[in-house]
Amino acid sequence: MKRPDFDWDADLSGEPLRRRMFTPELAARIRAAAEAEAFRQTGAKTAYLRRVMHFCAMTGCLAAAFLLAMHLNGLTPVNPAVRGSSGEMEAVTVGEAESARVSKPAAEPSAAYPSAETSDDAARTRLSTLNVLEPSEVWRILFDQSYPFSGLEMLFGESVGDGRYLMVSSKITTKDDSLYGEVSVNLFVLKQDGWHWESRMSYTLPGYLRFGESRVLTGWFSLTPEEHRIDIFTGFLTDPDIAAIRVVDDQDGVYEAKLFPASGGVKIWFARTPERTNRRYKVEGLDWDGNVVYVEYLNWHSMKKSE
Amino acid sequence: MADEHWRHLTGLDPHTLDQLMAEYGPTVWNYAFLIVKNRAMADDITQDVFLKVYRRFGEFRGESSIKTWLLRITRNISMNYLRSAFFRRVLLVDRIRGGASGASAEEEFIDREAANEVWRQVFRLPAKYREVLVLQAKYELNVAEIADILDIPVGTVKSRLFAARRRLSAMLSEEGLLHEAT
Repeated sequence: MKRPDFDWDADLSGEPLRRRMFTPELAARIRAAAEAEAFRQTGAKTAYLRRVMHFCAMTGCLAAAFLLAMHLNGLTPVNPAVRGSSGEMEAVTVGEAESARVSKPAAEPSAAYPSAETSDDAARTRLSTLNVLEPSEVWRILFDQSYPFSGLEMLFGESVGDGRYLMVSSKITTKDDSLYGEVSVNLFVLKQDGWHWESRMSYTLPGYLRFGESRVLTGWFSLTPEEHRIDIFTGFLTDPDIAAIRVVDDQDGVYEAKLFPASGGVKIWFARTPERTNRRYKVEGLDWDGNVVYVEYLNWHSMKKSE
Repeated sequence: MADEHWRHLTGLDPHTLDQLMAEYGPTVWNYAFLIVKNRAMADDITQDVFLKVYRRFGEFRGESSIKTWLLRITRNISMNYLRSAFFRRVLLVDRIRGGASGASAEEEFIDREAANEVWRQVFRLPAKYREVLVLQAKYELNVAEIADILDIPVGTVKSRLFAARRRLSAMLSEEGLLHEAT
């Protein structure tokens, strides 16, 4: 029905979407993240106090050990050149022996005898290096703290080259006769102080997939920089006749997809290609006899840059 | 809940955060989605907005309404997402089997879930027109408030509003939903 001009103002006063997208689950996720953050802040204060106490204790131990060494070996602090083996220093704390052995000119006695603070820093550096968490563990901790009620499920993780690690997760829910969900790829990068959560890419179900409908849904991400580019293919499989999915590049490279069963009869599939510069791929679905029963072509023209 | 209530709070606890989300959660989510047009990202932005508010509620001085303050934060965080190195680096294709038209899943979602044809066309407007129009028509902000949120002069807001309305009228006319302007 035609309407007079500018009559549509009233239409814009309501909600833009039919469905309420700010869901109770999202509110719960935000609240949990807020509580986790408050917890972390409290934990940070506690950790600071713990570090201060640790520092004091270590200083005391160092002083005691130093006095004991002087007493046993007759060493004097004014003659650092006689401390060649530094065995007594090794006995003091783990992790500082190396720094204590660093060759310094004898003319710099203060450097040859590291201060308690220097030793403490060295120990902490060593410990932080030794205690670098695996990315999967980092992911789990972050995940548990931030999204405890989100329903996300971690599927698997794998290294994708020097200092890069992918974790794949999914979330599938059913409501009425429709399926909702997403598959997420989390990228971790190893930096000097450990693994960092670099980015997250998600492919969300379009929302109109009916329960029991047979479909193959394909999402395609590219990780850059270009010289280390990795193309990632992931999506949802609800067609029971398809037993396997593979990605084939334009040089006949074949990459079998991993399949993960999820709820609602949905399978999540995931494949990635190595560092190459291909721009043309096809996704093939194979039936239980190995016959190709589904093909979807993906090429440069089907890729678009997200705005 | 009245603005007065929020003005007198010096900080949020989990209970008041719940109250704030119950009242303004859809407002924040919808505005984020209108900017980025991506559901997953709108979820993340909404979380970032409320976490930021939770951390820094003391910065709300009551000079503007709580809604305007939230919209300004939402817009800043949304723009950061759009500008972020991650978003520029990632190329994304979400193709659907049989979707030869090439429409993305999000575009299909908007087409299917938009509340009415006017909203459907609003989503197709360029971002700079979409924003001013929505802030005025949906969020009922005046020109000065829109200028404050978008950090642009009042005159620019007025000219964008005029252009947005003209363009939307043309789009609705093309769809046969509107008489030609007289």
